[in-house]
Amino acid sequence: MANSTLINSTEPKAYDGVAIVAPVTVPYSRFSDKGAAWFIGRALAALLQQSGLKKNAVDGLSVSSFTLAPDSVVSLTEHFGLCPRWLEQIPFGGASGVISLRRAARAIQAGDADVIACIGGDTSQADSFKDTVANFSNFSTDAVYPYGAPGPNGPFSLITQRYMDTFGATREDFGRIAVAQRYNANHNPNALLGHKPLSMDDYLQARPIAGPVHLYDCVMPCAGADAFLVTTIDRAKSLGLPYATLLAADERHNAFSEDPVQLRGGWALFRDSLYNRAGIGPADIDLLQTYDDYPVICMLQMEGLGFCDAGTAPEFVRNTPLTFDGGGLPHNTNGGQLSVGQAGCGYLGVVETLKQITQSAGDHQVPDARIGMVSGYGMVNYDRGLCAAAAIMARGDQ
Amino acid sequence: MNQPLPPSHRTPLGHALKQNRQEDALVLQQCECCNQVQYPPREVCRHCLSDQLDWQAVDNNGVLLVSNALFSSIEPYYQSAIPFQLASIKLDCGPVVLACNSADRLPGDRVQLVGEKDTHGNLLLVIKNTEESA
Repeated sequence: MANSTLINSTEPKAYDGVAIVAPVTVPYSRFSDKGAAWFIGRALAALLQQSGLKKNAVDGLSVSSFTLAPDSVVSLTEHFGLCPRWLEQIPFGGASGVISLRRAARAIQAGDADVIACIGGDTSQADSFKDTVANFSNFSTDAVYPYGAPGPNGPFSLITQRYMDTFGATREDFGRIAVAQRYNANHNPNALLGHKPLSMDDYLQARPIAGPVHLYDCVMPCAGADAFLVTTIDRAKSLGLPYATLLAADERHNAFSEDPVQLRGGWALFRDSLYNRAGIGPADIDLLQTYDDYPVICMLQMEGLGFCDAGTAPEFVRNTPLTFDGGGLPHNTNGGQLSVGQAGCGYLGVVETLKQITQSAGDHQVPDARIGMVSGYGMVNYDRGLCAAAAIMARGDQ
Repeated sequence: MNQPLPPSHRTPLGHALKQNRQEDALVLQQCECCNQVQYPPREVCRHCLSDQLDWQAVDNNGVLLVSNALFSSIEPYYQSAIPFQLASIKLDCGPVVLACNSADRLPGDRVQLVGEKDTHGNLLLVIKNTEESA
């Protein structure tokens, strides 16, 4: 295949003048009898409360949800009594939060909207996860689901085992990520598993799920929402809101499709350009949020985004504290999906980054966090995640 | 109480994959224009985007990349049959196929894939048990 298609012909322009404000979380629950619109609607209410804006000031809406169907974002305009002039729905799984931010930032710059609410929200009901998995994609319906109906655990167990065979990673290496995240979650009252400690022994002795994937490598689908507003810096200042700027953001899809098993994603294709545009390097990042559907995918992101070389993340996590207060690389500082729960398509990491760099993360605040990176990964259409995205955010002038 | 059944829902292309099955062979889509073999089944060729796709018995040799035992399933039918052996195979003719590894083959092994019907008539791509057939 023509690898020349992988080379960028142009570089994205800067996101000058854009502000990200009002990080909010609608607390997660394992199950809910409420619909996805309840979680998204309550997130919108929280955005208005935190920003002091009236509902009719929100003239843009971007939503991601696995559990909103048959409704779409336009259904929500009627549900919520909104009359937006800019509307977006991002169905890219765990890359949706970063991509929603990216789309909204451009719309603000172009004047297509003044204030955009970006919301990821899901409900969780008895059969909602099974319905999502059974009808996830056409390729999955024909070529994965008939093979033991493993859900995402099947393909990710193959990726995890292949990564272990290729690079010598051990279960303890993955455990370092999961255990550090649980420590972070122990300091986050919104984390569903935050009241439970997790030791390395607990991690290693968990019940097997698929190959090397055991219980604490898997996220728990749940109900909840995370949301933020995108507007202009001028508007953020006039509202008196602490804000973040977007130094750079990028995305790439279906990269390295000739690799027989996914051991890397699209981050490597835009990483150098991303850091160049931001004017910084990995060493300047105060905290990193990766999309942690499984610990091995965190490693692919650490490598793809230049925190270590390809295949060296096991060594990196052996030598680098990952807790919010460990002095290494604070990673998934609220506990991540592995300990908070999975809802809302990757907005968790964007919102946590925004909380951290606006100094509103509470008991798991990273001291003097100024620059944060959030990475997205999503959509196992067949045997690998197709979407890779990342954004670098910085604390705005107060 | 009725016994649970295996999931039988497929897309039209998934049904075509089953209908074109041949005994002791692997039948996949091959493009008439560029000869590329592809899997999972598609509406157009992933290489040249032609819609002239034939179901052909293809070279079924490949190398096993990785294989795992699944201990958990979303479907009640499989919960009585776990662990289910799921493997990823790189075919010499191109595609990567997720298949059932009831032959207990290991990474690096040369294997052959065939399409088999389960007791309910659903197609499964499986690693051929060459020792039994020899």
